[in-house]
Amino acid sequence: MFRSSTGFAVKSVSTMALKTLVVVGAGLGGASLVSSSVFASLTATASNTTGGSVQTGTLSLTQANASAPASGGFTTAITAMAPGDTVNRYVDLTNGGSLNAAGMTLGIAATPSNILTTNGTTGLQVLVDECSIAWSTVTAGVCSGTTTHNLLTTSANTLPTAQTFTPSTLNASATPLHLKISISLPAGSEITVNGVSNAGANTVQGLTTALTWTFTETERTPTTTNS
Amino acid sequence: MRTMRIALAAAVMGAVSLAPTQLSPADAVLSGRASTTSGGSIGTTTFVLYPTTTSTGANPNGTALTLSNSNAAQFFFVRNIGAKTLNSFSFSVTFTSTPTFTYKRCALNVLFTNATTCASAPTTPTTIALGTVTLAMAAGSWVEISITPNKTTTPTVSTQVSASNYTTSITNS
Repeated sequence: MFRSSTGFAVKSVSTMALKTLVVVGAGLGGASLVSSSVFASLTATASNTTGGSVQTGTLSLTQANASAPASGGFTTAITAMAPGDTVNRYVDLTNGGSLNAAGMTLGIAATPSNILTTNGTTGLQVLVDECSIAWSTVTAGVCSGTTTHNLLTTSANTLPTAQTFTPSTLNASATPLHLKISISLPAGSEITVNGVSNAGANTVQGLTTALTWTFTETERTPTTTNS
Repeated sequence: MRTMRIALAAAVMGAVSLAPTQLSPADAVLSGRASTTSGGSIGTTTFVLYPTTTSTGANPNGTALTLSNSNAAQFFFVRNIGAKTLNSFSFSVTFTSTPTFTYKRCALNVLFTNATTCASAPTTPTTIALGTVTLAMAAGSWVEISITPNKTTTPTVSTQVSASNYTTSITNS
């Protein structure tokens, strides 16, 4: 310490330089310690040189009009149905994907919605049967193989909510399900008296509705494999 | 304390932002669907029958047919204006007094020329009874019926038709 010509006391230049040097040195030292811990580490890797492919399966469901015993399927209109009538339509259902399917369901949507699809008693009823082989063309509607009831008689008014098939599985690339869909209108108790139905506005006469039939499947139960 | 709150908030935000990517196997399952895209229309028929005074008479919309107060032969028609071919129909008659009566009909779409003769073969009317009349009636057809009471009275005629009066079908199509 000395006093300057202006009378103020100042530290010596050499002391300040020394302190600065200490601080900078410490900083550099610390930095070098940190950086050396990164750049000095060892790394080893191991990778497969072949294989390693992961492939996902596919799920595909198609329906088509059966060719026998009749080909109307769902795409041909049903006309002039009377109470007591039953119309059988035939469709084939195929899982064209690579994954087995489960959770098969059937639902319908009606446009417009009317008594045919809103009244559980006098409206349409649906029964779905499956034949293990194509349905007979010799005696239409007869299964010469094994018949399975996929869906017992169900009122159309419940089918906006998809109903479960039994059995509800459909394996990939399996033979198509040969389905007979029986659509019936109960004979009921409707009487026309002097030109007017006793059912009034709830008559099933002279109605039309367009049905969209939707089959749905989901993939089989996910698996955990050790392989 | 403030630092802990900030850390907690950050943890919650991180969990929320990551949540959508943590799908369970059940959420990620595939589903397939097959629907009809055309057709699928279902239409129903009609079965509409009524008594009327002429072969072209309008639908009475539920009202029974009241004939004249007479002891002579009276005639009325039963029309099938529905779309369904009928095998039979039911008819009933009430009277203001109880007569001994006779009912006859001609063939489908054939008129009476008088109380005992039809306009075309078979010209002799067929006797029928109250209740079920068995007669195939195509859509749009009619049948003429005569009532001959033995004393003055006013007949009122009603008809009925239901699923029991036509042939139901099971169709594979």
